Amino acid sequence: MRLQGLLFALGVLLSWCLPGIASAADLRAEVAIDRETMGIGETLALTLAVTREGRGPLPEPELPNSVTENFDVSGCGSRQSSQTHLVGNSIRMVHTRATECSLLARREGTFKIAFSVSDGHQTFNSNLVEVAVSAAPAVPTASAPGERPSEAYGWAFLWATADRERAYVGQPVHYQLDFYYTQDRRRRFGAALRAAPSFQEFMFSHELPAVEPRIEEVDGVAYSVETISRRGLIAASAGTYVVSPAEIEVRGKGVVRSAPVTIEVLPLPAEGQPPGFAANNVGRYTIDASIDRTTLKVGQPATLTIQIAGTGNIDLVDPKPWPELDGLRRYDPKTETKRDTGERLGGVRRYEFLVIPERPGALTIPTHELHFFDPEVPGYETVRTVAIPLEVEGTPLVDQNPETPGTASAKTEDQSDTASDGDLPLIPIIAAEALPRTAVVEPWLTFARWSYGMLAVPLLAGLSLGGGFLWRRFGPDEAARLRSRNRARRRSLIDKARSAVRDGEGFHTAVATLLQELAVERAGPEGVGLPRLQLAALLGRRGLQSTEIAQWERLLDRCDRARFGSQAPPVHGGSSDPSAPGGRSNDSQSEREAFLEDALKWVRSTSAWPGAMR
Amino acid sequence: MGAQHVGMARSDAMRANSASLSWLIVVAILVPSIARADAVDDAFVRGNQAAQAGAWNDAVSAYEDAVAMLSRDNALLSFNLGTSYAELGELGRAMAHLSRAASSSNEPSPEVLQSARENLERVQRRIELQSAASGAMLDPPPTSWEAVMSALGAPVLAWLALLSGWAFLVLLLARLWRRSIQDAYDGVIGAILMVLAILFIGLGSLHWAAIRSNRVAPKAIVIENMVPAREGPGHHRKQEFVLQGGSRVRIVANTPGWSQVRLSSGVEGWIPQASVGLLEGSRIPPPSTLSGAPVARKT
Repeated sequence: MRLQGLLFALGVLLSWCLPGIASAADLRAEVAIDRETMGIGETLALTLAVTREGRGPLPEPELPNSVTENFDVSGCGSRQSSQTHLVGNSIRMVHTRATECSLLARREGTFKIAFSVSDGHQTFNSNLVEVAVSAAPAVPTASAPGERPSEAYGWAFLWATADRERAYVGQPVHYQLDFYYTQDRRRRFGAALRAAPSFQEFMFSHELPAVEPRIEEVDGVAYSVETISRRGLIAASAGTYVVSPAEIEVRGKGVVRSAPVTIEVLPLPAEGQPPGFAANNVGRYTIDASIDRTTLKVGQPATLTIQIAGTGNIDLVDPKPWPELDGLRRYDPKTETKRDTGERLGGVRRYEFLVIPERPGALTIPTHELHFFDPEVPGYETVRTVAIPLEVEGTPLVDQNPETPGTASAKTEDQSDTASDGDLPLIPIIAAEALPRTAVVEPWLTFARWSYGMLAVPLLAGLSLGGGFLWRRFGPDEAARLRSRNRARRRSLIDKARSAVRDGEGFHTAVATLLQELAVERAGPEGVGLPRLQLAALLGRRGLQSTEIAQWERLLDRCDRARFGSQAPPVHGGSSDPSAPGGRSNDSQSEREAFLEDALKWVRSTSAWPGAMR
Repeated sequence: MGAQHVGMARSDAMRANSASLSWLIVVAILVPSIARADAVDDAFVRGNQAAQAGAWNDAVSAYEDAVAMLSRDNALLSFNLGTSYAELGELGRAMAHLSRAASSSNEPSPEVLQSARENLERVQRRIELQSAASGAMLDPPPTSWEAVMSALGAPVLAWLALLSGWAFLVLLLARLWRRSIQDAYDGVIGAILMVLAILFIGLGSLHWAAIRSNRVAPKAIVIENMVPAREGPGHHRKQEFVLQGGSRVRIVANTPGWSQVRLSSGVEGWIPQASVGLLEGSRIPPPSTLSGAPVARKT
C-alpha cells in the first residue's frame, strides 16, 4: 500500500513538471494600442506584454524610443499574471508580464510602435503597430463677452469667457470657466485640472459662488456642464490683462484646453471726478442711515447704522471720513461686510456706530455722501443718507457729576474718563461708624424640608387610600358592625345598672331595657314594638326554651314591680316599654345586687341561644 | 461644730472657684468674637475713609479684608465694596457685589437697597457701553421666561404648594373616615380636593423645576472685564467669543480651574473659574491687582 501511494504521487509530480519543461523556450512579445488614430492632446492606451509558456524568468518590456520621442508618457503600471491551460492530457502554464502606459501625442504624424526583449542569448521582437496622429482640434473661443458656445466641440471642451472685454480700473470683470462633456462618454471622475487659469495680473480676484452642474444643448449635442471657476476680477491700474488658458485631462481620453481671455482696463476718467475721490469706489451703490431709537436720554447709548449696498468691490468701498456729530459722542464703528451670493460681485457693507447724546434737545445726525464711479453710465455719481433728527431728554452730562461734600465721589485721574463717558454718577458709599450686624434668620423651609414635606403628601395619601381600600375589602361588614353596636349598648346598660346598684336610681330601668333589647334582638325585626306576651310567644317560635322565656318574664315582672309598685301594669297584656319612668325601688342594695346577678346570668345565657348574633 | 464649719467653708470656696471658672470660660469664648467684630468694623471704617478720600484701591482692600473676616455677606459692606469696584472700573465685580447688596437674603436696609439698585442700573449701563464699544458679548436683557422662573423659585410659592398638599391630605383623610361628611358635601369636597391637588402638583412641579435649575446651573456673574470664552477648558482651546464683565451667566459645568458658562441666549463657552463669581454662596474672589480700566475708546 505504501509503495502504491508513493508511485501515485510520483506520477502526479511528473505529469505536472514534464509539460513545463517541454515548453520552456516559448517566449512571446506583443504590443497593443486602443486606437490607431488620434489627435494632438488626446491620450492613447499602450500595452507592452511578454508571455512565456512554462517556467522561466520574464523580462520586463521597455518603452521603445518611438514612444518616448513622440508622446508624453504618464500613468505607467506593470502587472503579472499566470494562466493554466488543460490541453488533452497535458497542463500548460502561461505567465504574462505587461506594462501599460497612457500616451499623449506631442506632434502630428504616423508613428510605429514595437519593442523587443532578450532572454539570455535570444532576442524576441514584438509585433508592429502604427498610430496616426492628426492636428489638435481648435480651442473654442468666445467671440463676444459673455457669449455661450454655439458649436459642439467633440466629446469635451473648456469654455472660458468674461462678461466684458473692456473695463475701468476698479470695475469688477466676471470670469467664468465651464467644462463641457458629452453625457454618453462621461468620464468626469477621471478628469484632473492640469493647468488652472491664472489671475495674477489682477490686483483683486474674488471667488464667486459656485454654480450647480447643469445640462446644456450645444448645436444639437447635449453636454453636461460643470463650472470650474467663477471669479470677480478687479484691476488696479490701466492696461491689457490676460487670463491664461486652463487645461483639463480626462483619463483615457485626452486633454482639453480653454482659450485665453483678454481684458482691456481703462483708467477712470478725470472729467467730473469729485475731489479726493477714492479709486476703489467703482460700481453702483446706495447708502442708507438708520438709528435704533430717535428719542433718547442724555447718556443713553444708541446704535447708528450706515449701510452701503450695491454691485462692485464692496470690500474696498471707502466711505471717506464720517461727519462730526454735534452733541453726540461717537465711537469706532463695527464693520461688517456681506457679499452677494448672486451672479455679480457686490453686497452690503454695514457700519455700526455707538453714539451717546451728551446734551438734551433736538439733535441731528447729518447726511453723509458717498461718491462712486458708475461704469455703466459711465460717470461719477453721488448718493447720500437722509439726516436723522433726535430728541434727547435730560440734563447735560457735565452738570450731573457734581462733587458732593462728604461723599466719596472724588475721582482719581483714571476715573475722570469713566465719569465723563456718558453715565450718571454712582450713588456714593454709605459711610457708617460700624458695620451693622443683622442676625439673619435662616428660613425654616429649606429645600430639603420642602422636598420631604412634598414627598410625604402623596405617600401618606397613597397609604390612606390603600388602607381604606383594605379596610373596606377585609374589614367588618354591616352585620358585624351592628353586632358590635349592640354589644356596646349592652355593656353600657350593664354598666348603668351596676352603677345604680348602690342607690337604686334607674337600676331597674336599665335592667329592664337590657332584657327587653336582648329579647327584641333575638326576636328580630318582627319583635320591635310587640307587647311582652306576643314577644314571648314570638321568642318561643324562634326556638327559645320555655324556661328561658319564663325567666325573662320573671325578671321583667320584678323590674316592673320595682319601678311601678302597686301600679305595675299587668304582666300579661301590659306594655313592654322598658323605658317608662320608674321611681326609686324599695329593695335593698344586696337584693339589687342579687337581682342583677340573676339578670346577668340570663343575659350570659342568651349567647347560647340558637341563632344568637355574636 | 468646728469640723462642720471647715466643711462649709471648703464647699463655699469650691463654689466660688467654679463660678470664677465659668466666667473665665464665658470671657474666653466671647473675647475673640468681640475682637473680630472690632477688626471688621476697623476694616470697614478704614475702607470708608479711603473711599471718601478717593483712594478706591485702598478702599477695596479694606472692604475685602472686612469681607474675609465675615462668615456671610453683609448688605452694606457689599454695597460699599461694589460701589468702590465700580469707581475703579471693575464693573464685573461691581455688578456681583451690588447684586449681593440688593439680595433679599442679606436683608439690606431700605437705604442700602435703594442705593444698590440705582448703582446696579448705572453699572449696567456702563457695562452695556463697554460691550457696545468693544464688541464683547453681553447677556441679553432678561426675558419674561426668566422672570417667571425667578418668581417660581420664591419661598411663598414653596409654602403655597406645601400647604395645598397637606390640606389636600387632611381633607382626603377626613373624607375617608367620615362618610357622613362625604355624603353631605360630596361635590364641594371633591372640588376643593381637585383645586388643592392642582395647586400642589402644579406649583410644586414649577417650584421644583425653578429651584433645580438654579442648583444644577447656578447663577453667576462674569467678574473680569473681558473674558475670552473658549470651546473647551484650557487656554490652548479655540476662542469662541469674548464675554463682557458683568454678564449674567449660568455655570453648567466645572472642571479644575475652568467653568462652562451659558448665557440666556444659549451661547456656551469655557472661562477660567477665577473670572466668574456666584451670585449667592461662596466669596467673590478679589482681583490679583487693582487698576482702573477705561470704559470705551472714543474716536
